[in-house]
Amino acid sequence: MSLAICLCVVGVIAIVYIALYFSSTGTPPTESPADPVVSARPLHVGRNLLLGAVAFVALDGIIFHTPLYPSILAPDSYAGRLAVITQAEKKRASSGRKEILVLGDSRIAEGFSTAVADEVGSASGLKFVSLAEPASTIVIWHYILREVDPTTQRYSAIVVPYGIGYEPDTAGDLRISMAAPLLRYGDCFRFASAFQPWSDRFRAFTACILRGSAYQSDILNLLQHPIGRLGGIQLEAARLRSRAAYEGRDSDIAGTSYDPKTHKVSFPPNLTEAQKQLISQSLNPRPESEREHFVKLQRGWIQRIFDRYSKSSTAIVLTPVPRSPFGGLAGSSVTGDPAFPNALTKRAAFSLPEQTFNFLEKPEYYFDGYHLNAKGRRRFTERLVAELVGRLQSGDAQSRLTSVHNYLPTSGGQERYH
Amino acid sequence: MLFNSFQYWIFFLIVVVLFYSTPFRIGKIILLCASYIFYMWWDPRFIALIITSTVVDYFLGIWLEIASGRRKKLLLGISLIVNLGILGFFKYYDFFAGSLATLLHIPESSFVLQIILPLGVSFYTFASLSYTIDVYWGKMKAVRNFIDYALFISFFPHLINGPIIRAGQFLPQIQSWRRPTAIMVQSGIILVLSGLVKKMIFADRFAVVSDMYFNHPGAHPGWVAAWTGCIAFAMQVFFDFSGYTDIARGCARLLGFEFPLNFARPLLSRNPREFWQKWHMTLSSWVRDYVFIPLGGSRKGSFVLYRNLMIAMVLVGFWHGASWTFILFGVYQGMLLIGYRLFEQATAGTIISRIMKKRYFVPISVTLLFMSFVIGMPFIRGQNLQVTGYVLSGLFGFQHVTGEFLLTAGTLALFFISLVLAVAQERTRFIDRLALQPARIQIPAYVCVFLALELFPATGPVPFIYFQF
Repeated sequence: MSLAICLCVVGVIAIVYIALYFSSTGTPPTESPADPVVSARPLHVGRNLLLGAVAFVALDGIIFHTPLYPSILAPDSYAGRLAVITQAEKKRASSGRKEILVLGDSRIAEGFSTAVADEVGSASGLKFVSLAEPASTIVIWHYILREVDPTTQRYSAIVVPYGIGYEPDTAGDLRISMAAPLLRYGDCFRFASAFQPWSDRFRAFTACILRGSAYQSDILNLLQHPIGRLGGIQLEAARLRSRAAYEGRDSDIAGTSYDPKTHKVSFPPNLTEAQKQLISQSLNPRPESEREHFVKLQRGWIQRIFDRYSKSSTAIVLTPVPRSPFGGLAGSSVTGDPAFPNALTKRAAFSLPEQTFNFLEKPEYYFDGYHLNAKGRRRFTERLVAELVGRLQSGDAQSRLTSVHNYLPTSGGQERYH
Repeated sequence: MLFNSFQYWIFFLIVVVLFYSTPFRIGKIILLCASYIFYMWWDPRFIALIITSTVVDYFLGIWLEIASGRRKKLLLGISLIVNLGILGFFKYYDFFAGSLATLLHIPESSFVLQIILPLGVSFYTFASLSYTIDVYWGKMKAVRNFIDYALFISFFPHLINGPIIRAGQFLPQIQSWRRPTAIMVQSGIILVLSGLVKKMIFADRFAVVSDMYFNHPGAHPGWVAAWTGCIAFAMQVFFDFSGYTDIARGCARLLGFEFPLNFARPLLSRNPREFWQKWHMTLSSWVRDYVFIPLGGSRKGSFVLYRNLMIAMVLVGFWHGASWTFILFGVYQGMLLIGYRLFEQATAGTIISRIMKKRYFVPISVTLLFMSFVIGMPFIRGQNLQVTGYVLSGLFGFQHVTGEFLLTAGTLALFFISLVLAVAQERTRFIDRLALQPARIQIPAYVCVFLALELFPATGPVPFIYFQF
């Protein structure tokens, strides 16, 4: 090892020496020569610049808008994982049963099990597919649907969660890179409008046209570890299998308590510092502007999903998710005026009541401040499937419409669901 | 409005369109208004300072031209007091007040006013001073057109971060402005792109390493960490400032103006004297012409020469920032210059002198100069004397640990890429010649640069380091 380091150092010194040797002709330059001022032939400044720009956009298109680069995205990155599962779902043959697609972020990825769902729902002829991915949002789910269900006829129902999830500071960049493999040139304005700060909007807009800009960190990673990347890509199939076999995390945070009046949390002794930190973080109230943006985003993009499926027989099911180990905290639930678009009443779409999963909002069902553990996962899945089976089979679209029409979340969080 | 932001390029595009769609006499006014808007984007309050400095020096210039004797000296004195007064108050008051408070053992808050440093004040003050001094010396005639003078002071490409423009260089260009030729436009575009690459790819990547080290030097003890952190900062400073200058020169050229060269591959210099001929050339030549030479330069014997060198370099250091670390940076650079002169005299005609002139010795000279430059970095980047002292102790191995190697594979790659590009540019000036190349070379070059800017910039627009000076 030390010999290798020595050889590297000697190599580096040799390169530097040779480069610097060639930098000089022996006499130090006294002044910098003037820039060229005349040209022997006409210069086509604008034409060359324009052609350069066009060639650049074309090259970016060839590399990044085709499957060329997305096929070698880091499989353990958010964008890479999403690209892999989306492609796998696109290629998957139909099961012959009524297929129900479940979308969602990390709360559904941890909280919903297709194995349990199939076990519970198989008697009703249902087959569940989950494309829930950590850090994804309603915007990304819209583009996932466009990718995996181009005809809008593939699924019997699509489950779309609502509510407010965890938003890291780097959310903008993360979501732009995640959505990148699913974007098209025509998505520029719509996709950019999903971001709040103008800087993020600009980056999102650029990412639609110059897709490479969304993969900056992935490309740097590829250049630094090219061999590791290729090895990782070959393990994609194994990763997909382990994703299907995932049963959730066994640990829980039972014993943790929170007093909403004093905002004090007490932890049991078995929790790690990281767990404690994450739980405390999840209890911080969300800024009102961020909350409003999130609700507005859901409203707008759920509407887009409805519009897309307006002529389809696919039912769109809006589901709440368990909000936190301590129930509905300030800023963690969507209440107020109907959070969902009027389109709910126009087609085969319905929403599960907001309190459906309140029974799971206990520390023993969570492994941190946001996510259900294995026990919670099983119970959430069972309840969700039971609700779906009951409602999907309860009658025709009209009866569902009625049920939706009667669901109106109110400002106090009390719902009127009949 | 940073040169590396989308906002700036929208602004620049609007200015270019408006400027070229009107006659030059109106275009000048558009450029002046644009420059004021550009400046006010940060803090509209400080526009009053630029306007004060402009109005005072405009009239003083005219009066200086017709005055003589004591009256002339008095007018120059007024110009110096106004300009240096503004600079002194806004940039140096808190420093002197804080130092005095420390000396008298009284709380700093009793003297220090926490004054906000107006952007670019050091640059436009020096530009303005050069004008009144040149008129005083009779080197140039006073300008009669107020718009011309105001534009010289506030022309936005150089306003915030230089290069320091002299009236003698810029005013004739306004008075006999001509539409830029195709080659000027072409080379302007190349300069802008080269500046963006330097800033967004090189400087901002090295910044990640240097920030990691200098923000918490105590967390990275040892000589390896100190050297790698300081090398990263040295590279960052160079690429940041030289990148800004390239963009400024490129933008000026696109508007039909020529700015002087500010950097000529200084990190390939072989000795401190050559370094200061190639590094921030507009500042070093300003100090040479308005401080070093008036003090007697090298004409009055060795002692006066060394004294003048030290004064000039302390001034250069102090110009960079109001802190003891910057003064020490100037002292360090002065010592290097004096030390090199003494060494040269001592070895003149000896075998050492002959060896040093050999081509095979060039890499060693360049490396030694680079190391001496790196040793100067703690003075610039260290937040205070304690941090500077700590980093210096790390550089000289006084921390008795090896420490971690902070440069990443990416920054190492950039280091070697920049070395190869600098050497190629030094030998062939391939970047400058690109303007003359046919489409089959230019178009792929554009594509490579656009791809590099798309794929490899550090995250988000990072402010230029020299803004703080």
